[in-house]
Amino acid sequence: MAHIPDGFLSAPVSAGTFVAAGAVTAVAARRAKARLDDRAAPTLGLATAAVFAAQAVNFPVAAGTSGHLLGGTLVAVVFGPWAGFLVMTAVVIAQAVIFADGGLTALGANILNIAGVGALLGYAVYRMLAGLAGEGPRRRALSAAVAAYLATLLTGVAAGLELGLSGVAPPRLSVGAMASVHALIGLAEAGITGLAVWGLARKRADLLFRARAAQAAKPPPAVVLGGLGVIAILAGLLAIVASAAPDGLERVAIDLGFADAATSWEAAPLAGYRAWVPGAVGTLLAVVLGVALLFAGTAATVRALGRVPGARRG
Amino acid sequence: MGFTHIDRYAGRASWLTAHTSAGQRIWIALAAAFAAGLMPAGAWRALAALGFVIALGVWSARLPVSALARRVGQALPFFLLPALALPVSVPGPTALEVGPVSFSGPGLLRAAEIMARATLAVSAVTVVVSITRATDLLRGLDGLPLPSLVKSSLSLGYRYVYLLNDELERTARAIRSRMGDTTRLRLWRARASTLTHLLLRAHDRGERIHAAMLSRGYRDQLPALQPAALVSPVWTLAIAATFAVIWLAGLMESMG
Repeated sequence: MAHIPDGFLSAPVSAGTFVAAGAVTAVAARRAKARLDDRAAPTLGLATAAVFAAQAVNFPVAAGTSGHLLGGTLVAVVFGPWAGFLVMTAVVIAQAVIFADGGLTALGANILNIAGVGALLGYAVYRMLAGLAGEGPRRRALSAAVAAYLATLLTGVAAGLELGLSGVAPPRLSVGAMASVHALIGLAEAGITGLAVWGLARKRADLLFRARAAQAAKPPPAVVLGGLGVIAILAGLLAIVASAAPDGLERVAIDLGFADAATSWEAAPLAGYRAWVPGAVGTLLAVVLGVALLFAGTAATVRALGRVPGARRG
Repeated sequence: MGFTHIDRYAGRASWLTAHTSAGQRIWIALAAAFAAGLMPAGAWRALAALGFVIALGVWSARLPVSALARRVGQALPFFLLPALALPVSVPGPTALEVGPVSFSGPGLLRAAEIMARATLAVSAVTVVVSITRATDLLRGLDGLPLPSLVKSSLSLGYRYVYLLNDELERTARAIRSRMGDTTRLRLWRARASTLTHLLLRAHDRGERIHAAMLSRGYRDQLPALQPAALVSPVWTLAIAATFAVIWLAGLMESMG
């Protein structure tokens, strides 16, 4: 779903995303080369093959349907963010050319959405959460699962935004539809990524980055579990509320005259944003801002609780 | 889980294969996809002309139309679903009513246009992929402005995906014979651990391959074993120019 086909993007959006994707790809190539040196080509080649093979493994979901790994966050966790970006770029190109899954004019947009948001942003979230949560397979797995969920959700939001800006549908509708679909797809992605990282952390923790800062303060696992779970659920709700419902929510708020004191606490900062930033940009900002706020809140909680003496290792 | 779906080569000699090289065909596919994908709204005559030229390409490639239609059809759901939202969301006079859902006339027209653009682009790309060996396609990428790491990832990825997939299939068979019918949760854990091992093996194999490459004198550049065939670019330029002209005509048509 996240792959935008040919014919959907307008020329300016196509050109803009190509320029942006080209710039990120150039940076990624330099950074990956600097880190991996002449190991880069074989390492990335095998990682690309692994993502392709992994996408063929089916995970039964419900009622005869099944999902599979998208892989952006997982490959970035194992091979590093820049390598992960390049691997997903190669995967997106191959999918567009061989399977006609995603268009050539939408290649820039698809690279940004799937490799940029999926691998880079997914890794950034994982890195932050894992730094807070500390080491140990379960903490790593949870950090990776939440990161994969957010990355998948925002991949959908980004695709919806590009479709909306191209005039295919009203931005509010396209962002809302894509966010809702990816809020569900993200659950499978989070589950698969979390389980795979759990195994990795148990078998070859040396492949995963070592959290130096986290070794000083280790909050009890229950806090981490709870905090991360709350972030994931709220982020999903937030995306749906911010992008699909505001039509109704805002009208009710305006009709009843309490547009400023919005209906629920997480909608409060969003209502203000939507007032002065038009359409989809506002929705995107609202989602990102909301996620960032929640993230900061949970991080602070985890930090504070982590200083309780006698905290156990996870 | 077979990986036969990666190789889409039909092995037909035709006018197209004789007059264009693999690398040139990539440029033709790009020109066609861009002309179709970025065709401005309302340029119906240009879209029809584009359809005619792409149909000509299908005919000159001597591909069985039914097989081609099947491949294009596989991509259909990817753009059918988003396009279906249009007739409902675009305002305008109602043209069609199915139960409680009413489709607006302008919305239907726009959906049809997007479907046409997407189908034409996919058809052009599918023709090129069908008449070009995967290895030739990969070598043809050399001419594109992509970072060398992305190109090498694609060619090494193609070389090793079959091997990794064989390992996956053996693991899957072992899991099936040991677990039999099991709960969904246990199946998820088993499959996820398969993925863990797939990644670990890919990581370690990458290091072994790197060592092997070094021992054979690898200097940070993958060698091309077969020199690319030299084909005059005249026909490629002519075909690409045709697509460009049709797109420009479409642009003028849409502006009135």
